[in-house]
Amino acid sequence: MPEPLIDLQNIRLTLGSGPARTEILRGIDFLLDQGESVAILGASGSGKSSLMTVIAGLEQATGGSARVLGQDVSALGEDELARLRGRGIGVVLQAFHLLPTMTAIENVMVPMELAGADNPRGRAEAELSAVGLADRLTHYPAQLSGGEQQRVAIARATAPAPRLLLADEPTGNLDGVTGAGIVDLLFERVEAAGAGLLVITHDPAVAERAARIVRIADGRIAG
Amino acid sequence: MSAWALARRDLRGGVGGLWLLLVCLVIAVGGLAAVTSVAASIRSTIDTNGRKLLGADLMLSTAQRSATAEERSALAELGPFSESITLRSNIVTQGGSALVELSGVDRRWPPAGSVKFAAGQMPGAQEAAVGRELSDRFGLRLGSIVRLGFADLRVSGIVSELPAVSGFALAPPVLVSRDGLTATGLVQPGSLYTSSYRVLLPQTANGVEVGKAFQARFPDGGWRALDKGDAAAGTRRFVDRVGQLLLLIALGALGIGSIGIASAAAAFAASRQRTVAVLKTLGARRRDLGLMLGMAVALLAGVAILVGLALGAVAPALVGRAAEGLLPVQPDRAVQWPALGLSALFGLLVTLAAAWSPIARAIAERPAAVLRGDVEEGGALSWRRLVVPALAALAAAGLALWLSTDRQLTLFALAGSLLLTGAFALLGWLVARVARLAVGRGGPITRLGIAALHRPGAATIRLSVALGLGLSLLVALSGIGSSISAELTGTVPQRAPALFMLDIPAAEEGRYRALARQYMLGAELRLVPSLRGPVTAINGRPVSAMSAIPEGAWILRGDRGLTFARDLPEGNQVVSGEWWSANYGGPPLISLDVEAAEALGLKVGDRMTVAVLGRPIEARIANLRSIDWRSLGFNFAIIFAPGTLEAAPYTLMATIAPDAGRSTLAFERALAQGLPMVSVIRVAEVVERVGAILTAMNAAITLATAVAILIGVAVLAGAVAATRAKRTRESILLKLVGATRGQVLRAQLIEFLLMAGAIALAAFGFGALAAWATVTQLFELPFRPDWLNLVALPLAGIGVAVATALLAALPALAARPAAALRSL
Repeated sequence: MPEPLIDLQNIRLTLGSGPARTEILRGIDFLLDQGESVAILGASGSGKSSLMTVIAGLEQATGGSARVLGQDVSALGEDELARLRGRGIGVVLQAFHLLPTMTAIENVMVPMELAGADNPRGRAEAELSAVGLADRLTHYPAQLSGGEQQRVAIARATAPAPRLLLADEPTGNLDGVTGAGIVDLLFERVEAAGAGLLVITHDPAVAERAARIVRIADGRIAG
Repeated sequence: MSAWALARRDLRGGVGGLWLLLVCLVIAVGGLAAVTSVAASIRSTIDTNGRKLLGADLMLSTAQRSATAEERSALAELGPFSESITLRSNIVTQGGSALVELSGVDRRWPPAGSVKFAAGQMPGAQEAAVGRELSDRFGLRLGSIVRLGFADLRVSGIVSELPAVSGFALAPPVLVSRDGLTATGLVQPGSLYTSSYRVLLPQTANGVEVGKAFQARFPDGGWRALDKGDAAAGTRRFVDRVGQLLLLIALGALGIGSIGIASAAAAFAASRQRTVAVLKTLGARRRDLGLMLGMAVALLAGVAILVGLALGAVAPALVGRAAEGLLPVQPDRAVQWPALGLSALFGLLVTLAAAWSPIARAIAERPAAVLRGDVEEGGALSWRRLVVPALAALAAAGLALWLSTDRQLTLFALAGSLLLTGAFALLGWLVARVARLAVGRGGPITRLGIAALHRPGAATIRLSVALGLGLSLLVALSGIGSSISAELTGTVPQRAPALFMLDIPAAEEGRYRALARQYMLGAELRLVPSLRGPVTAINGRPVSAMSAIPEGAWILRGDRGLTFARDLPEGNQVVSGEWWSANYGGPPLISLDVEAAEALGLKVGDRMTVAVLGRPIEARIANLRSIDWRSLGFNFAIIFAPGTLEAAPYTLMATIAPDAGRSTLAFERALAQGLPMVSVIRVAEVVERVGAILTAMNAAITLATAVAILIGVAVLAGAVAATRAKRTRESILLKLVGATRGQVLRAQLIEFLLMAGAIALAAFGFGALAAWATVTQLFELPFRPDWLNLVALPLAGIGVAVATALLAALPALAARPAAALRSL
């Protein structure tokens, strides 16, 4: 049986110290299999985004075991985590977070170039065409609308053909119509890449698009 | 609510980037206050101790003769006086021989001030008191025997301090009594000596007036008058010149600091934009808001200036300790309040010039635009906001001009700085422009590095100016210093003879030549007649009646060396008029140095009066010569035609140039035995002394330049820190998509290297050009800098700048991804 893409056991996360100490995650167990799509649904402050940062290796769990793409992320150094993300994980964030000094195509090329992948320009161009931005290749983020910026972010995440795609509130900064289009695109591109998808959202409509929904409340899996 | 209360509450939120203002002002005002305080403290010592340094209220001196009976009675009418005779001679000890400044003094010497002894006392008839430097060099103790001329004298004292008429002396002092001097047999008709008469005047008398009256009474006596205000004139001139140069560098550093101050004020204003907008919506007036921000800046500037002034206040004491023995006059260690006041004023004016515009702009923004986040970075310039800064900058420039002892140099430096500022601003603009054109080139790391040079808010132009000015200055000064040094250590020893010899009696020429043939066979020997005397009148107008000596007319200052020659000396060229025939025997004619003639506005046919042994000789200028002073032979500004000076008692001067590496010691010993009246100057020793002074000057100037560079580096660190938010964001986003820390660091490195590299290259070019122009045009020397050093300096500058920038960027690199993402 193939190894799951994400295997979390009893994950705990505590931030801050003294009176400001807050327990964010209180023992999360979670599995995501190859090619599976799962939505983590929860209210604001429930700990869902923090869960994603632990999976992406952006935050170190305080306790428990986190294996992502077969690797124990708590045992990896910062650079090894960066390489893991560069080669196997695509990340889409709510606020797009494109590099402002790079054009759309350069933004999409960056992770492939950093990982030393072949033909980054050709692949970036193809991916941007696939998200409907073939005529926006040389535009800077400031010259793109919010929806267009999120499309670039999706292309950036999917172009390197990651095995796992993490999306944190991908429609949070967009209006309803644009958001719906982005969700369609996200699922379509993940399917095309054959990757697993973990989408974090507070929007039941977005969550329903996933094969499985996991609810989170107060730092625990609620069902 | 008062603006002060607003400012106080506002400052609880931190100083928002004003730390850079603090750093720049502390360093710049500290440097300025230190330079001006040290110069003022040395002048203060000279001013308050003028009488002590001169050893009298008035000193009248004349060359190669003593006062006549009539002159003596005139001196006695002025007040009690003391007589001394000073000449250069060689002292022979068991440890070796050296050139000394020998003074034969009477019992009243010095009538004012005192001679301080490290040991012993004033010399008796067969005794000599020697300077501490000599005793250290040759291990002389009380009772040691030294030979001066024909006399063996016992050391009676080791002198630690004595009246310093000029300040710097190229030879250490030796004191003997009048009887002792007679015993040496060194004072003969024609010997090059000076008789000085130190007079104590009644309290009501004005030394300058009395001196002039004496000169007027004996216009042909060749009398030179120095009052207590002229004491240590050499030191004063040295301090004025070096002080002026250091002042300009310190002002340059303050100018560079103004870029940091402006950046700091802009960062502070940006950090307060929202507060200002909210307060405006609550009804605060612009004036109050301006005062609120202005007070915060003023408070920080005040603290910085006070710290800078404190550094300046202790500088005289520190320099006094560090330069003990190097300076002939110890700096007055008291706090130099006027110097500190002026430094504070400069600091305030520059702060006003640099900080006004960013603050004015911050309070002019419409609150709605700020709250919407719709405020352009950089923003539009309004000429109204430039009036106050322009006036403050003009006032600072005016103050610099007013303070300077050399206005032409200051104007030149101001214009040069403006030109260089423009050039580096243009370079910064070009770098940003090229970076924009290079968009999309290279890998992601290179692209990010290049993009950082032209992104909004990039400080490329400011940094180019801030770093470029200091580095150019450093390269220029190094180029000038190493070229002069190469001349001194390379060309001078190659071209110069090994020995200069003075006071060879004309009657002993045969014996001298015989000794030279015996001990220095094959060496090139040159002998010329030598006399001394002052220029007393130009075209019949007495020099003493001139209100000021024109710039460059140094031949009017004191006694000049005179000679007569049949043929045009080697290395000289007639540029106007004609050289006389070898057997000329008509009325007195002279040949004059063309530069001195130009300074005095003289031409062929004009007349110059020179007093030789108290006898005025009016001569017509037959021709003007250009002199290659680098030939290091005998170069006389004034040469008489044959037939005028031969009758006067004169001595000969000689140079001897043996084959390279051949020792002159045996010849020197033979001269000390056979012709002890001959003074021997070893060129190597003179070069060493001049070299030591140049090295010390160079160190002071390099230190001042380092201050300018330090400020440039602080400005760079400030600019990098100001873009920390942007850098953090980029660093996190890159890490998010798979970049390692090394890759992120490389992107920053590329940015800093590209910028610093361009600046260093330009600084090398501008600095080398300035050095070349100064060395070849001003000093008329070949440009032979230490290229390795010249290249290494900007490279080291880049190294420091890039390292500082990376250090300043480290917090952005080290930001934790998740925490930073939450705040993005």
